[in-house]
Amino acid sequence: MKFLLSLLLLFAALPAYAAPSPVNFNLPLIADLSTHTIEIHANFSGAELLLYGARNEPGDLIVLTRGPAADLRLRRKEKIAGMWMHVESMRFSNVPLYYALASTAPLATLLDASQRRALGIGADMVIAEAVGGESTFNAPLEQQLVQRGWFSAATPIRFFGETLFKSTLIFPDSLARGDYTAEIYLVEGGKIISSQTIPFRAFKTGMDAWIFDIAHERPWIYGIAAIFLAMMFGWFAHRLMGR
Amino acid sequence: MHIYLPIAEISVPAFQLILLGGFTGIIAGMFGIGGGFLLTPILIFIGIPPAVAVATSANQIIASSFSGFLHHLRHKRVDLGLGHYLVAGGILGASLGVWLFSALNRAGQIDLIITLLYVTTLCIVAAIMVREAVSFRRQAHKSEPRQEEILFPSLERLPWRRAFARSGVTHSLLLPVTIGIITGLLVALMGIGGGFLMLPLMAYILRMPPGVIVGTSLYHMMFTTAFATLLHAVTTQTVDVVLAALLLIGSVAGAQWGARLSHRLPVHYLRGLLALILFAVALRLAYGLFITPPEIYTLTVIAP
Repeated sequence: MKFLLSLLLLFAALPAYAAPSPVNFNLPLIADLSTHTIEIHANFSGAELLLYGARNEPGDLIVLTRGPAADLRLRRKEKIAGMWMHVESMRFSNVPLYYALASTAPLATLLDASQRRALGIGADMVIAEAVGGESTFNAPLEQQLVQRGWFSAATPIRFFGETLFKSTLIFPDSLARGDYTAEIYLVEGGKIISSQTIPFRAFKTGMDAWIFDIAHERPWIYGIAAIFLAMMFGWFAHRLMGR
Repeated sequence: MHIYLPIAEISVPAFQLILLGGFTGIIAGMFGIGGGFLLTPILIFIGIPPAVAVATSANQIIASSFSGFLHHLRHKRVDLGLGHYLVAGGILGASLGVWLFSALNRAGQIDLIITLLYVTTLCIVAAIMVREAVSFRRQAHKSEPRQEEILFPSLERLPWRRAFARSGVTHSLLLPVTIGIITGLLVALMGIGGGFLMLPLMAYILRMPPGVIVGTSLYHMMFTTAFATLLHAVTTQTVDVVLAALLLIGSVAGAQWGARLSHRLPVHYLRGLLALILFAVALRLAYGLFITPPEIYTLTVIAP
């Protein structure tokens, strides 16, 4: 048994010997996530991912997590003839359906405005870009997104000693599926020294995801199936009545 | 046990939905009018998006109208000749209704319009029921007189007249097609069968004999609800089959029970009670329009 195990270990280690590469022990920044997939199942009630890593050079950290982008419309209600109805609306293009930002120092002190704009750092900036400037809908949209947990403040980045750090990313139950990225920046003296992007995915599983997909991708088949289902019930009821 | 509805995208207690289906099934079985106009508002109250409530309700009505139609067909109580023209109108009306529905949905006004339509309809239906209960009390057990006289002579001058043998009437084709269009609109916009409007129109405008009215209206309703379901599935994607299946389990059982109960209970007096419930639902819906909403902003994801 022990022999087999050592043989296995040897095979596992073989590729490393086969392709020797220069090992760099001093990458300025290295990080990863506890898992790279979030499974949204029927009883999904949110998820937490652990982001951990090490910095080997002095500097502050920014962690930016972004979800898949979508077009949003925000409508405002007003009282007309005593009734509340939608009167005004605004369309926002390409808004990330998840956005969380954390840093070890105030962002404005780390990077200047143009750098932050280029990287999409700052929720208000992302929203302003989605609508092409300022509007009276920007602040309410951010509030709505925060309320849903789609825009959240990532938990503060905690250090263990000078190099090791961790942060927790919190995702709500209404999480959108799609491709996500966690971007980590190491910043020193107003410049980005090093950065890393970790992709991860949120996907739906189970019967309800399957039904949702058919409804949206094969609507004709879905509609005919819905009719057929109801007719089966109707026929069954008819047979019951006949008794 | 909670179950996740894939299209409504909320988690709901499954048993409660089966009970709700059962309740509307009993109402339909007892009073002969579908529980559609009670079902949709209750679905909205428990948090199902109005658009999903309407489309799924239409899906659900296919079952009761199909089983009812089979029953009446077996006893030869369907005028298929007239029915075809009603169905043609129904398909036109449902198409128009779904188109209107998706336009209102895009404009963000669908919830408001559905609520207003329901408040109006519920009040009308409740008023009709109160009147029926009262008149039943007055003329105790007199049978209802057949509407023989022509109420609107001008309708007799419309073109494309045709004789319908089963009902023994001659009408312009425009009449059944128009009635079909109106009820088709109601099916698509409100998720109800439209029997409350259809039956009086068939009796007083089409002057059909009482024996074939219900069967023929079910024939029309079956096709119209099926067509509206298909169009909703294709254009607005708001038909939730899981929700429909749960409601159907309850309503199939409830309808059997309701039909049996109707022989034992004084149904004509219970109509008064049902009318009260309908008024209460209408009031609750109207109240929701006038109180200050907890959130004046509504967020929708348009396209991923």
